[in-house]
Parts: sequence; structure tokens; C-alpha cells
Amino acid sequence: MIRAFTHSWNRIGFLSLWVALLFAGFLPQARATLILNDSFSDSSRTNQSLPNSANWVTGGPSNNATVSNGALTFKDASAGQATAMTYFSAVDLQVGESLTLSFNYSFTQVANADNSLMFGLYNSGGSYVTKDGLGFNNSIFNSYTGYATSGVFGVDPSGPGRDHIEARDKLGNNLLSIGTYSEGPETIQSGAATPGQTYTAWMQISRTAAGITVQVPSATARYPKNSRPTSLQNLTPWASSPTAIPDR
Amino acid sequence: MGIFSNGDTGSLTLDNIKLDYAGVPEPPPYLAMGILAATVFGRVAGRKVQGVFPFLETQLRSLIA
Repeated sequence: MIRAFTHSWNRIGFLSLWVALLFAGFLPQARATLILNDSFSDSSRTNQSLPNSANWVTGGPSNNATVSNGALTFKDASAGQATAMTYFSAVDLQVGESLTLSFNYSFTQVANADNSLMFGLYNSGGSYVTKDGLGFNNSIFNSYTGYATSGVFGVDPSGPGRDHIEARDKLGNNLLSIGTYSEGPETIQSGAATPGQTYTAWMQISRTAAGITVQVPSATARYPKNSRPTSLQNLTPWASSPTAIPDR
Repeated sequence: MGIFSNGDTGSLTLDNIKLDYAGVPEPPPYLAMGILAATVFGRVAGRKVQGVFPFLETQLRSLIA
């Protein structure tokens, strides 16, 4: 009798396991997609074949931006010349999801400026740049919204970097004009990048139940719920945590 | 998505550009619910219709195999 009872419950245990496994088949899967992974190994700047190659449009002259040895190089990095833009399918971040943009960069020479580089993720609203040489003061960009960061990004011998966060939430043709951004937290801005030093720049945009969190190597900004700059508004972060980096 | 030089000189080199879209899964309620439901069902039904289980097991095995 005891044996029969045990045998029965073993079978019930098996059944429970099978049912649980069936339910497990319907579990939501974590999404992890590399939208872009451009190592320029195809030696092309304009080949659009995501994720391994993107069509990079430059605001400067075409011959200023060339690809060789697995890298995109701008001969002239002065303001307005070394600019690149590419597009990917729109992503509607859900709670718990994030977009992380990262890349390596280096300058051969630097001016005595702290904001050596600026980059951002924008919602183009379908208004695309389709050819080189149009600059970045163009009606195409008038209603672009998004998040950007500028500075010297770590890691370098002076520390993790100096940068700040901006939300583009105002109308304006000039995509680089600070007047079209609400500025967020910033670290101490001092000194330029080191020539020949390779830096890793990154920015992560995360959606949480409370809103949007934008993080760069040395600063974090949190924007309130429903503040995604899909509609224009003043985006003042409700919390920010810049990390002060001592001057060099 | 844009990358802009902002006032420096010389040349600028970019490489290894990545854009990663990551999601954190919601807590898996179905698994817990499945285990609970199967356990309760097993405890209630097992005493009365034990003969059904070998049949169901066979069917489930054939479905999954």
C-alpha cells in the first residue's frame, strides 16, 4: 500500500514537471539585439547592411571621411568637418530595456577644448540625410529629438573622463547648437583630450518605471516618466549625479 | 544617431561602433504558476484518478519528444 502510494506520487511529480516545462515554453525571452556592430571590416563607409555595416553620412566633404584599416578617419577634425550620421529602425524602449552606444576614438591633434567630441541618439521622425556635405545646420534636423553627450570620454590617464548630458527637446535646424538642448549634469570641464590616446566613449539610455535614465562614463541623468523627447518640451532631469573629476 | 567633432583639430579616427538594444525580462510568473497549478492539480486529482496520469504522461512525452 505504501509502495503504491509512493509510486503514484512519483508519477504526479513527473506530471508536474512536464506541465511546468510546458509553461516554461511560454516564458518571455530577454531581448538582446546588436543593432549596429560596425568594425569597418568591409572597408566601406556607405554600405548599409546592418548590423555589421552602416551607411555613415558626413556633414563635411565626402573626401574628408574615409575608411581604412578597420576604422573611419576624418582628415580634418575641425568643427563641422568631422561629423557622421547613420540611421536604424526606430526603437520604442519598454520598461527594463536599454540602448547602449559605444565606440573608440582618437585625435592626432587637439585644440585646447574640453568638448572634444559630441554624440547622440536621436529620433529623426523619418527626416533623413541622404548625402554628404549638407552640414549639420539644416532644416532636416529641425525636429530631431533625443539625448546627446559631449566631452572627453574616459578612460584616460587623468581619470574616467569629463562629459555632460543634454536632451534635445527644442526646435532648431542646427543639430549641434546647444540652444536646442536642455543641459543636464556635467562634470568639471577642463583640459583637452590627449593626442594619440584611444578613448572609449559610451552612452546608455534606459527606460525604467520612473522614466528615462541617461548614463555616460562620469554622469547620470534621470528624466521623469513620459518625458521621452518624442514631443518637444523642456527636459530637466529630476535627478542627476555628475561625478566631479579633478582638473589635470 | 550622430557623432560630431566639436572643435578639435588634426584627424579623428572612429572604430568598433556598437549599438546594443537590451531588454531585461519580466519576472517569470508563468513558471511559478505552472508549478503551483500542476502541484495542486496533482494533489487533488492524484488521489481520485491516479489511473489517468500514466496516460497523460505518455501523451505529454509523445508531444514533447
